[in-house]
Amino acid sequence: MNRKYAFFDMHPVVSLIYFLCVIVSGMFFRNIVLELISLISAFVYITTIFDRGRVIKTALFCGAVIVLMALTNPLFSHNGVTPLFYMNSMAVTLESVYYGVSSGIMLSAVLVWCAVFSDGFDFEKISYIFGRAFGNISVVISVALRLIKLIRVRSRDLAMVDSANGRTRLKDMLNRFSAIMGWSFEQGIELSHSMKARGYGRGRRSFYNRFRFGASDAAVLTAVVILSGATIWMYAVGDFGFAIYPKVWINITDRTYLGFILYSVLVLIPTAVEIRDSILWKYYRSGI
Amino acid sequence: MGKLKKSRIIACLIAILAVAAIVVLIINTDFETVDEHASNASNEALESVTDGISVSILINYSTVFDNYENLSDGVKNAGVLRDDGVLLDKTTVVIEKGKSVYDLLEYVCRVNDIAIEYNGSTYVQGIGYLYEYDCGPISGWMYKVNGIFPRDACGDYILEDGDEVEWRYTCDLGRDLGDQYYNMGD
Amino acid sequence: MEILQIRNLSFSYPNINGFTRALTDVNININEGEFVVVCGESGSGKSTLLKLLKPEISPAGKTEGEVWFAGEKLTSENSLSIGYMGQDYELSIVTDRVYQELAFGPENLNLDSGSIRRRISEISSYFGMDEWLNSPTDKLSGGQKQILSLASVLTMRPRVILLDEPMGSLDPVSADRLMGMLRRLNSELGITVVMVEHALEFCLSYASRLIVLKNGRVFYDGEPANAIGTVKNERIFEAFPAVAKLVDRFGIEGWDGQFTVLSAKKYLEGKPHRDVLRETSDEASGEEVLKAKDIYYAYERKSPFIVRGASISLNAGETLAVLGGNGSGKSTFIKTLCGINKPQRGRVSAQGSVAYLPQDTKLAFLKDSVRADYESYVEYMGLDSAVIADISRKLGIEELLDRHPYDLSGGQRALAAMGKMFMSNAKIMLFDEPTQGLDMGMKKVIADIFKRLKEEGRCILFVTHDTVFAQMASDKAYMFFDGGITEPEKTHRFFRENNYYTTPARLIAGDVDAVSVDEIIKAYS
Repeated sequence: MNRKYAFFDMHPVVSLIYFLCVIVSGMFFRNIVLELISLISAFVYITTIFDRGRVIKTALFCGAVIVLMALTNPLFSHNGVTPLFYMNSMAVTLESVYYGVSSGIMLSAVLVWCAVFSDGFDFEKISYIFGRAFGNISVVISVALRLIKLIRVRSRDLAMVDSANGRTRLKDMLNRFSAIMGWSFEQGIELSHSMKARGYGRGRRSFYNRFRFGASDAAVLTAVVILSGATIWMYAVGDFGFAIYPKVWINITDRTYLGFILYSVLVLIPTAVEIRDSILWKYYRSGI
Repeated sequence: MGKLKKSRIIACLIAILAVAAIVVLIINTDFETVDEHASNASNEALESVTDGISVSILINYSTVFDNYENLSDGVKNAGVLRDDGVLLDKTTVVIEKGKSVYDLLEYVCRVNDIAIEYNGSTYVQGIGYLYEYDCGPISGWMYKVNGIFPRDACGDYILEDGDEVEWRYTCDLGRDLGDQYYNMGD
Repeated sequence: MEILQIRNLSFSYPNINGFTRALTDVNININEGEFVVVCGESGSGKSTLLKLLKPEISPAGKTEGEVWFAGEKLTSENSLSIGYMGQDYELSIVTDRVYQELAFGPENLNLDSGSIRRRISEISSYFGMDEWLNSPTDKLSGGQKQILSLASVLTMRPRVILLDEPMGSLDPVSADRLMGMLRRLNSELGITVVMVEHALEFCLSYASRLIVLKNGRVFYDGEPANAIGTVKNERIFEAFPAVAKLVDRFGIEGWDGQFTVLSAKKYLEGKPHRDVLRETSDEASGEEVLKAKDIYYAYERKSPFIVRGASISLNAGETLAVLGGNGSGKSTFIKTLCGINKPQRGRVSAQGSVAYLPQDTKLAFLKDSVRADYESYVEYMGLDSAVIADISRKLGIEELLDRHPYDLSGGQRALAAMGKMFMSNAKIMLFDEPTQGLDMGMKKVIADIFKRLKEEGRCILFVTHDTVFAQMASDKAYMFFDGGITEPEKTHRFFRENNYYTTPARLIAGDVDAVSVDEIIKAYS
């Protein structure tokens, strides 16, 4: 049983809203501290769910993004009070490098969050969200996806057999393609038989609701809404004042510290859920 | 067995092309250190132009103080604004014939060490660390010649002897500077 | 209480020239709780009959007569209580996840979530599916897919289950398990089971009733034990379990009417027998044509090795069988021999070209007609096109040439695929489960074809879990186990020495040295 992605075992609405808040706030909160908080906790989270190789690859990728933006932003933006040198009479400034770094961090954070989301929020949950409203469509889509998978496997098998018998030219590929087309029509009919035999097409369909909205779902959702709301409001009233152009400036009040803490809690929720889950799991297993 | 993988060859070719492109770009760019830039500027100030035309220019952003609450945090706190809103007092300059408003601006900024950012030669995004949109969504730089707002891009307007150029910052699409263009009936 | 009444049912398929008769005057009454097996040669109409019992999937054509279900005429309105399981489990699965598949049927009935949940949890507990309830459906093993297929029919709470050749794609272990589940459903829950099948050795011992169709008519309808007298001269008798053939030869006395190995042993007890002289054909084998040494293969870089240090040596003029449990890796191994899977370690060297026929014979055909496929193959190989007519005559498949490969029955398609193998000049021929889903008569035909290919000097290696066919068709047998392969043994010795993984005849024969039904008959004559 897959014990990772415990955060996604919660009701889909919870994870959907959570990621929406984190990703959107990540894009709009242009404050270096908030951006760093977002990126660092994204990484903390992926160390709990990805294997080491993937974490390292992601880190390298983000590093590359940041370096790339740090180097290219000065070519396009010449704002900033600290010139390093001049290119064609326009200044390449230290602030534009900072801005590049900041954009890189923001972009990396958003990309990592998006990657995690697309990994864990699979079709099952998407179809849950939409299935309740568009029950029939989600069946069609899920059958279509299944058919696509079958066709892919089939093409691969066919190519395998052909190559074993020495047929690897382009013409063979075209032959295979038309054979697969014919085959897939057959499969479509078989699938439809299987569906009709179980009563599909009789009119109204219900939708099996697997996810129950429990107490912990409510708790997490409340936390997400409150923390997001609070930080958004604080951002709007200027508690997170920060600017890079033309001179680096940051406004830190007591409320700003509070804001940082609130945001950190928000972005660390999935990590907390994963850790709690693995602790509980170890506890149960040791008791057997 | 050394098999030359097609994808490897293509990757190498792309890499070589990229490096070549970068080298070409670097060769064609004019680099100066901060000191060189300053000394070039002062050298240029001392050069005189023969057979030139005489024009005047000023750069002003006083409208910003009427809309201070809209001003972006960065500019507010960078300490680069002057209370009187004057970046450059009215100055008379001799330049070559056939130069545009853009050339004039570029020249005086270089000589007076005023930061400037432009987009090609048609659009001025920022002067003296004050950029478009820094004071609201319809703020930016506009120029007047002899009291009127030309509709040309600043790189297209060729100056004549005696022209008086004003570069002013607007917070209101020009209306606060007296430009009725956007108020005219459609 | 009669649950299904088939009254004077006739059915014809439409075709270009008019109609082809598939069923004529079929009259069958099935009581609730019966376990019915329907068999017949291909073309006997058994599949058609089954499909006519489920209006949603009934074929289009001309129907005469009626089918009554639970006292009413059967229409698509009242057929929900009839469940249907097709042959291909892979294709019957329509959703992403196991629990979704189970929910599919009840959703169609517009039940509320609570009721659906109850049905799912019930079925899941009954079949022990709790562990993998949330799995994606494409990650299931073949056995799990079979269970899921059955379970998702059962969530509709049917009173009757129809099965169309369910054993076709199964290995012996899975086949056994399916029969066990069906028996439970029948005896514990009283569900009526009607299954069309020709692998009678698996299912006849469970059946309370046997119906044999011939040419679209009912040929026999009654208790399985009493069928022997009627069908013994028909081709379908080949498919009957070993004990039926023994009873046919030695008389009914001493037989308890069951078709199990145990009842066969009891039947033979006390009967006189002698040792049989085995014809030892120690032909010198030809030169080595394929050698594989220390093969290691894993699907992906980090996954465990499926094949671990297997070595094999094949000679011309030999037919070899590789047996092994489901999932042991024998298919994977054979794919390394023909180049489909490139081994991470070890070398395969072949003196001559290799031809490979996969388990799913549909994969061997790319065109819309057999003839077109043969022609394209002949053109590709640079052969003389006269060879097509020659081969078709030899195999007796002339009337199949203009048909679409997918329209052929499994046996017909296997023959057509064999035609291609004949035409190739490959010295080494590899077959993956060549007799999957085929009836006994067909298996004999294929064994004969292998013999002919062998006489041409080729080398044949086939992977199978069908012990009877392996005994019939091979000279030597290997066992694939634990990533490696055993030393080859002469086939009869292989099956004689094994105690569990062997032919039914061997199990029956016990101390007597016999591995096939024919040998038993010889010994007891």
